[in-house]
Amino acid sequence: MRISQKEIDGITTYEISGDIDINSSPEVREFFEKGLKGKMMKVLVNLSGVPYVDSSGLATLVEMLKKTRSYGGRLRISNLAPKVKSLFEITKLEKLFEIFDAAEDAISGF
Amino acid sequence: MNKTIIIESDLDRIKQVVDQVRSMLEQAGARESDVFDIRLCLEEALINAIKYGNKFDKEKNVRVDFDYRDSRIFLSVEDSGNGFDIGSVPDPTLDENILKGGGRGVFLIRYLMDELKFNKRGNRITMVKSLKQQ
Repeated sequence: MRISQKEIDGITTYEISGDIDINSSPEVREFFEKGLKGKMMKVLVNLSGVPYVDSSGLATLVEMLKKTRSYGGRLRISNLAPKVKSLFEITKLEKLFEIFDAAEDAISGF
Repeated sequence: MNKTIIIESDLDRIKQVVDQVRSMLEQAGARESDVFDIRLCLEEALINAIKYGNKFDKEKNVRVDFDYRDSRIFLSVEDSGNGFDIGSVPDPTLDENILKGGGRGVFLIRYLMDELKFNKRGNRITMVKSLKQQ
């Protein structure tokens, strides 16, 4: 699992590659906790390189959302693989997150 | 095509079990979508067994039985714990629970599998899913 972070025009984008599961979730959580100390107001998580997410991965993304909202920031997610997107639908997390098919759509109008 | 694997209560051993089940699914010609669902449910059940059932005690084992017959996969995961009541797990999709961390693993198993059974003690879960051929 790899995570990269970049900031363009006030939008912080995280790109994750690999599974977000019980093994990688602590690393993802730690990475974001460090990053979100900067209290970025606009955060995009691009999941185009993520073929698999389990319940701990979903919980990690919920934690990120809560953290971002706690200081008034916004978090969007994009480029979900169809099966990963279906997990958001089944668990009703789709109503909690702003989900976009493409990163460009998430960035425009952020 | 039935098999039993016994592992110690170590999350690192989950991959070993999943790889063997995945291999059986590939031989059975399972679709990628079904492989995803079965992997997810098996991993969630194994995590629960290791974390909540055996409380990470490496002296305690987790037994996994899997079988493929009549286009259906049967998976059983048994730990050495006291068992739990699936009915006691809060619905994670409700507004009051949706921001909480837990409960989604069991919820996903219930949703993605065709059948779900527990033994009386509640320490063995049996999951059944019909495979759609490619």
